[in-house]
Amino acid sequence: MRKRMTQITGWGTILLVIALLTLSAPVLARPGLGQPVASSAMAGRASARLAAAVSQAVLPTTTCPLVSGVRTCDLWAMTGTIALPGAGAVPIWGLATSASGPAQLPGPALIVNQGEAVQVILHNVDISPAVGLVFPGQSLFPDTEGVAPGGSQTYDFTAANPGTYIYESGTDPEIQVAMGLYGALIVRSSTPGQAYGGSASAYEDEALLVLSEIDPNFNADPTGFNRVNYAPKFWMINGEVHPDTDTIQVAAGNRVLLRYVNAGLVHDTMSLLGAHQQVIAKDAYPAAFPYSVVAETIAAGSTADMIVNVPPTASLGTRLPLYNRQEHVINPVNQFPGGMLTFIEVTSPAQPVYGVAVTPPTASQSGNPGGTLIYNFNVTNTGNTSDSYTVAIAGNAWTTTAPATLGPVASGGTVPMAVNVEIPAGAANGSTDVVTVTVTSQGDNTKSDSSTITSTALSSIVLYLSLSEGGTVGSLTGVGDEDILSFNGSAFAMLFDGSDVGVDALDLDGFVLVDADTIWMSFDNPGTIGSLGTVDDSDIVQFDAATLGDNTAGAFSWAFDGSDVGLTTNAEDVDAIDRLPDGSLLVSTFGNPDIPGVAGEQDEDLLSCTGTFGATTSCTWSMYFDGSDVGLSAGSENVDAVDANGSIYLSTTGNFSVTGAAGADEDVFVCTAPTTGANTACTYSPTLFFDGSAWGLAANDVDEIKLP
Amino acid sequence: MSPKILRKILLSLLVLTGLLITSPSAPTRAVPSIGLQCTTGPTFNLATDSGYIYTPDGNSIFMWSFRNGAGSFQLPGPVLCVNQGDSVTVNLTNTLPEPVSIVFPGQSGVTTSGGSPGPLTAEAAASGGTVSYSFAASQPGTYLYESGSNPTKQVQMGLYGVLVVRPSMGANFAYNHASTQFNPSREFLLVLSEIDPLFHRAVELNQSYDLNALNDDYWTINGRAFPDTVSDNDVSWLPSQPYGALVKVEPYDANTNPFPALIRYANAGIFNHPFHPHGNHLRVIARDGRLLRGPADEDISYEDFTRTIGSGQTYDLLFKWTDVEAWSSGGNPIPVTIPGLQNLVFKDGVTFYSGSPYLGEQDELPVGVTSYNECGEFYFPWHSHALFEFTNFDEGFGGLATILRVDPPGGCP
Amino acid sequence: MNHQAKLRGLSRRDFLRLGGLGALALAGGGAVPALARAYTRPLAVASRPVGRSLQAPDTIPIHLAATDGHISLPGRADPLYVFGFVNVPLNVLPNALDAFKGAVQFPAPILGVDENDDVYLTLTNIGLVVRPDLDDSHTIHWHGFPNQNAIFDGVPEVSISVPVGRGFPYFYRPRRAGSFMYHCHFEDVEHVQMGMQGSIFVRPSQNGTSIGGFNKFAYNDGDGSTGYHREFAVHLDELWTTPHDNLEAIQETVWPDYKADYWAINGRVYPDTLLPNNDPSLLAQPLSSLIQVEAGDRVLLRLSNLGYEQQAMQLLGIPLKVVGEDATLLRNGSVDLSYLTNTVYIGPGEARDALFTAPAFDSNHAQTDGQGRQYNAYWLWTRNFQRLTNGGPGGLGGMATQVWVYPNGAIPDQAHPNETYPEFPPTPPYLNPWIF
Repeated sequence: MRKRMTQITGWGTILLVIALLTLSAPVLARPGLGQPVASSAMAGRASARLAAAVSQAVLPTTTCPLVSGVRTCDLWAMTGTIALPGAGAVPIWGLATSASGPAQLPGPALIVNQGEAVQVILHNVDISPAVGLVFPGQSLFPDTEGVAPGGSQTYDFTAANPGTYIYESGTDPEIQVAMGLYGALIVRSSTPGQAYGGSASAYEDEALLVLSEIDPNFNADPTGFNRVNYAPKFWMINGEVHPDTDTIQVAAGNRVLLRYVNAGLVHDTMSLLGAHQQVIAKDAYPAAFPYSVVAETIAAGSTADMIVNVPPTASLGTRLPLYNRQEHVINPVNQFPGGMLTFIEVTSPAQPVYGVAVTPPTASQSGNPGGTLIYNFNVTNTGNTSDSYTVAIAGNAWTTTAPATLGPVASGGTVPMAVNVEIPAGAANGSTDVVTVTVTSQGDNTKSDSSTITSTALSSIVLYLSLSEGGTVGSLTGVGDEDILSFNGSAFAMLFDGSDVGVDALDLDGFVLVDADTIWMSFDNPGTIGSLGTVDDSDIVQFDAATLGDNTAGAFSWAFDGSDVGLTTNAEDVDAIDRLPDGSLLVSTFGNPDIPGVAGEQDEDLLSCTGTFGATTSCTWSMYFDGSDVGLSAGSENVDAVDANGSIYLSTTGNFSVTGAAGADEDVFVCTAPTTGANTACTYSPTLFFDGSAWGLAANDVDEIKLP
Repeated sequence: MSPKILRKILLSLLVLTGLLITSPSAPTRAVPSIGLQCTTGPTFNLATDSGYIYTPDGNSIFMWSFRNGAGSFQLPGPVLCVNQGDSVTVNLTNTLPEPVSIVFPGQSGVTTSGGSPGPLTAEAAASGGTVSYSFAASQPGTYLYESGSNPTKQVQMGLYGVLVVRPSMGANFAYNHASTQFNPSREFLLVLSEIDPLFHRAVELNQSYDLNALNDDYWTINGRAFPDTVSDNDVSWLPSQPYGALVKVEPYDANTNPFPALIRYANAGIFNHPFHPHGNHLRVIARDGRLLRGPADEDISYEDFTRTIGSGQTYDLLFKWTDVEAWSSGGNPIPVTIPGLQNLVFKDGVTFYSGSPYLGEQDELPVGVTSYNECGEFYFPWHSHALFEFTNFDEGFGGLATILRVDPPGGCP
Repeated sequence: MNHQAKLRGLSRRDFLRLGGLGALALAGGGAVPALARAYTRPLAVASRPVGRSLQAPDTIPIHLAATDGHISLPGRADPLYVFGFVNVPLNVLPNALDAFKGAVQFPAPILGVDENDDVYLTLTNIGLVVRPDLDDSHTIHWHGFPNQNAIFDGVPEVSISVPVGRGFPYFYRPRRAGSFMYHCHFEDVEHVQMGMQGSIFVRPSQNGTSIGGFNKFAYNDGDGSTGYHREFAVHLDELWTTPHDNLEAIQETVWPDYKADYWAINGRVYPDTLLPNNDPSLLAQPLSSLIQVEAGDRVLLRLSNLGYEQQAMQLLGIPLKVVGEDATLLRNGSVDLSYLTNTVYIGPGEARDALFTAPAFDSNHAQTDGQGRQYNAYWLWTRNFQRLTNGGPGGLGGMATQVWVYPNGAIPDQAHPNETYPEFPPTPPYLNPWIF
């Protein structure tokens, strides 16, 4: 993350810096901070450390150059020395970043990215009889054979999983590891700023702490020494004893990731004063449930990742002691402070960290058309400072409402957020709508969280209809003849409320539901509709709905200009329409029309118009359904409502009586298995599809229908 | 003369005097005073002091510790009990010949006034210096307090104590969670540490000593070595070791004894100690003053029969003992025949055994065997399983240990 | 040691301080009939039926004798003097027990029982060969056994101990599955270090049912998550040879000076850890530490530690999944607390149940065993590398063994825990170092 890249993390692992001299280009500009320091004079060391302590060194993003896509780390195993207070130059076996050394303790930290191919090339300069490296946690066969002096050995693996790992000698480890042949391997998560991916491992600052210890008597004679007598006297962090250890420089309020690697032979119990440590991983396996501790034992050879929330109120210069609670905080003899001790040091003022979490991350409900679903969420401020939030909704077709803003919310605080989703009256059974609600920090608009809502309509619409008379329909009052209703087999609901969009002066006598929010409609008289001016009763307009139902809103546009295609007389008033899957328009007229290119057409017929529609319409007419072929005659059997997808559903302007079926103008009947065209044939279903009188519509006329 | 020889002489003398002097007088305390003993705040006046503690083998050891205001020397320092949300102030007066400070692991936002800057925190100067520490007890739990000045030396010398923060849910809860309710009459604090008597002698005589060469001979709970750990609080023969460590419970019963005992562990020593209770598993519910619960309140507590308590760590544990088989001489006898007791050995002729294998029953013991059993209660040791720590010097059945006493339901008459 | 115990342990002064223990109750009086009961060994119980039912508890008779003996340690000229328990026949006649004097077994036999079994464990103290002057009593403490009655908990100071020439019938009804330990609690710092320690497996009642392709499980997990194909005791202990030599030389030991010099797995130190079961060169250390498995096997390591030091056990190259701790499944209801690790940190008196899946056989790193079979070797050792020594300078020794991964089908299914291929029959009078 940006902040992490620029933030000071002061332990400034100087060995890393030197490592970078050869492992990676970016920090070539840091000479002179090399470790180990050749001089064993404390004064000189102290000043070198001082320089280090105030350096702005940061744990680099990566070490080791990319060589044709492979993260390639060359390491040289060799003898050397490090200077320890009061002990002079102590012999070690270490790893260097060049054949000329010097041997480092610990070895260079290898920092790679998750998923990268990694190649470590070990060159054995002078470690007898052989040296090999093992990489616990990586999928390669442990090398316990090694390579003799003068030889080199290559280790290839893919850094599959992020985390903090150790690498160390696998050959005579009882001697070689104790002599210093170890280091840290860091695999950076593919999610920047998160050690393991996931908010539990998010951090702004980080530090690597390689813990180890030295018994100078062992180092003086590693093969002759009786390890039963192993008694360490120097307790080190990154190869240094306090006061030479670098502090961990952080900003107040930041989350600092402590990457512990215990490369020593003994267990270290590391304690922090002034804040708890959150254990998020051990041996690079993320903890299913992080836990907080003051002091945690890091077993020999294991690693641990812990996150410390630096108190946001900590003043500049605040130092949180971080030390070995087995009290290995002295240098020989009895020099306190010393040993395995450093500090988390607040060197920057609190920098607000913003964060937000919306729970639950997903939600779903079901309800009846025309109803409203209410979703309740919790919005938590996961940042370290008070924050307000902007709420955005996206992706929805159904009317969805949410608060525009939330907060201010204190750090760690939680506020409720209610989101309402209205199911359109016309929503078909099982139809769904998905909306994404995104809550964005106003303090840092790169920080947001969202929840995905899926709403499902339940009730089964069996019929949409329009009527010739207004009034009360079922339990629905104030219905107008300009409205479109849905009927689910038991109740009516408002789909299109014409009075909301200024067509209440007209009677809507034809409609097609093009899609969830697009309706074609025709009216029984000329009138002014929206911004279209006067629309003739032989025309069809398109309504694009912003909302439907009791609060209908939207805009009208031209769909069909009857006069362009020969519908000019009153008899050619359109009183029933539908569209076929191929896009052509079906029209039934008020009277017996005279359509160009069609013969014998009457008001009980359905004429298809195939062409282009809109403000300018052109099409070719043909007979689609000849009513007279199937027992319909003009007049009271004038078809004024149709749905012609599959079986042909019809309603008439008056009573009808055909083979196998009879009824009134408020009924809908079905002509099944139709053969369409000039010679129409079909079989009438003996049962009415919709018996209007059974629903109190005896005095009314269904003047258009559609099936879902 | 080597301490070992000294010890043997002392010990044999004590055996004799024990017989001659103390046999007639049975323990007099009618109601045993056991369990956590609080010093309440939220303002505390502590003073460093030096003094001597006694070990069961008759040794006496020079210690440094914290005492309560004008009180007398005690080890460990007073158990500071406060309530969550209290503003705690600890005023320290240092009577020791070198600077001393106090750090409060697990507390944040500790402010200091007075004193002079030290490596870890503000220090009270030698021989009369003072310093004050203040913080808000924001989170309940069990915490250590200890010297932050040369702790390698001073904490080993005894400058440590425990801070208990009671949750806002009430004193019968360990934390603000219903699952942490316990029986308030069954709250026990066990603070572990070690002692190298030669190091303490060197400090007493102001001689040099290499702290890298520490070699402990004694191990303590609440400043006492077993069997002194099972004596009451404030017994007269341990004037500077006021805190007992006996753990006493009665069998779990859903109706009459539903709530567990709360055991608070704290390791003030520099070694990790593997602590093993006989009797039953313990459930670890908290670490270092933080309840073991997941982000969605998942229960991440766990049970074990040995807990290695890391240096500087605290644990809160819930404990129940259940009479699973409910053996009784009447209806439900054990399915084996116990050999004649005279054919078995009662170590050193003394025992906690009742003579009967059944809880709440007693039976004859062989002639000459002294029993400390009251009413057929059970006793189990609770000890370090680094068994050399289960000794006083090299005397077995001593050191880092206490005893679990399980009374029959309702307790002894 | 009793001749000194007169001065040892709790002084009278100490006991009279025990205010917290309540009033002093002086017992005793003359002998009463109750004390005159003859001791009868409870071995007349029905012997363990074949094809044990999973539900009906079985009656499990076990007979252990306590004695002394010597073990072999590389890099050490003389064998090391030890105390211990040895597996003796159930129907052995008292005088026939003499054959076992000095025939110690280190560590003590693995005891394998089923949850809810009735376990009758008879301990007979047959005395010491090297130190007949020592009349030390012994006990059996089933380490971790919950809610035990004091009489069967095996702590001499709070119940009884078993003198030389006597026996005692311990009874257990284990109601908790998992990995336990047992050891003598008489002068424990000495007797446990001297070798009187072993491991106990309590098999869950779920065993025998088929869940997730397994029929053997570490716990009643309900989902097979603790199922395994092969299981191994990995019993850790370190040896401080000084008190062993002192005892043999009739000398005192100052226990606080504890300083181990050998570190053992199943009583053996590397390279002996790789020898098979009942190897004739290790009569008193019959239990092998070698872990032979097939690629793809799911393997249960039952780690237990009765040394006095914490260890960091690593199986180099293979991650371990810790599913149990101290005979407790790492799960609370639906909350899974098991964890993956490369390092099992285990303290004295602690137990861990760790699973791993044996990786595919890698012919690039093949080695050949004594039977001409190819395998891959993976190290299992303590990461406290200073302890990979045999009493002094030099190369690798101590608490290190290997996991040998064979191609599938190369070795038979496991007939008993810690099986090695091949393994020797026990050398009389020894029985096998496991009791199931």
